[in-house]
Amino acid sequence: MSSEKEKSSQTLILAIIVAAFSLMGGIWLSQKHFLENNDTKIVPGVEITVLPVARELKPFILQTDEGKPFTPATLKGQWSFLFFGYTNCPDICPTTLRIMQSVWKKLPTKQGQPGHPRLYFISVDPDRDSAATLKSYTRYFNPEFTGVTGHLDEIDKLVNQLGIMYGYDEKDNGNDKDYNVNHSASLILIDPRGRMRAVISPPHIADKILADFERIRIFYGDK
Amino acid sequence: MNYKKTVLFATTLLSLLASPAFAANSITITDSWSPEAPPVVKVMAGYMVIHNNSNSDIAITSIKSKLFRKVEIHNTVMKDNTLHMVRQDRPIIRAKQTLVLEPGKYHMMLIGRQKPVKAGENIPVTLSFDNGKSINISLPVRKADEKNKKTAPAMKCGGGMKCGGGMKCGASMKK
Repeated sequence: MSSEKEKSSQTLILAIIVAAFSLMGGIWLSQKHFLENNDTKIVPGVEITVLPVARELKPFILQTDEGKPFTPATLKGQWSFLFFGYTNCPDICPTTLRIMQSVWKKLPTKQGQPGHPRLYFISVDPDRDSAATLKSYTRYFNPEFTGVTGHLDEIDKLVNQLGIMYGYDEKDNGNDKDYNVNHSASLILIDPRGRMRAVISPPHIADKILADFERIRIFYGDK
Repeated sequence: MNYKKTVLFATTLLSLLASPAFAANSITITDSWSPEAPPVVKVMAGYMVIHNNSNSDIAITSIKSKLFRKVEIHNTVMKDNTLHMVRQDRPIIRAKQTLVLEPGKYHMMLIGRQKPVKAGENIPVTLSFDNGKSINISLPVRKADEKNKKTAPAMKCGGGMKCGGGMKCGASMKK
């Protein structure tokens, strides 16, 4: 009888130990699972619009302001901000680029370091924006910023999948080149796998963009 | 107060003192400035606050600058997720009100720059109003890094404004 009791208490202890181990193992597994699957989760605590499922980019072929190809492959390997505009834009484009310049000044990383992002200013006005114009325009704000241009149908291939819109006002009713370009003012954040990850809508505030970007970068990683 | 702060304070004070105000009885213009633009572009923006001190509405009939081919007032307006520059042909400053021109909203668009204009220089501008008055002002050109912490506020297309035309629309965003 007493050995029966002893046996059952031993079984109980064993069961508690097993339960404790499986609990710990469960916690460990779920954490591992959580970390590995952040990709399909939305980073908490950011104000910008993060896509629950990062969007793969379909092919497009544009050129950087140094004549290099700008394709989905260009966007792989680091985080990239994309901004769409035109150099004859007096108000929003320079203002946004100045804001991004103050974001850049406060980034914890330097060019060439892991986690350091890129910024591409993509012209939706290739008729007036040559590569040379874009180069001196973007470098004025920050030597790391790069202009991108190309054929309108290739630009459309990119903007259509990002939800960016643009159009021209008064382009056809005059002989001068003073027409305006209407365009989305959102910044698009591309992840290091070259996928659309977030949309940063105006109003743009440097400190908020910086804080949200750092949070996103840590949550999703640099690869 | 450290050295940097003292300098900042002194600069702010100086800039306040030096901040030009231009007046023609009924109209006063303050806070005029223009952010330095990349040398490669021929357009610049101008900002200012126009005060109507009178008891009646006053409209701007024309703006001219000898450094630019033409000057217009535009409003940056958000419509269908797109920013539109809406030209204001006769912008009205309501009686006893102000019209604020600032980044991301109403702004002067200075088109066709005749020669490079750098920070530290001034852009002369003449505004004419429908009460027959005109005012000569100058826009100090400044590097704008620190001035622009924020821009492009959430905007709505106001009543009676003409927006767009010939829009190309991409796939709509799913949020």
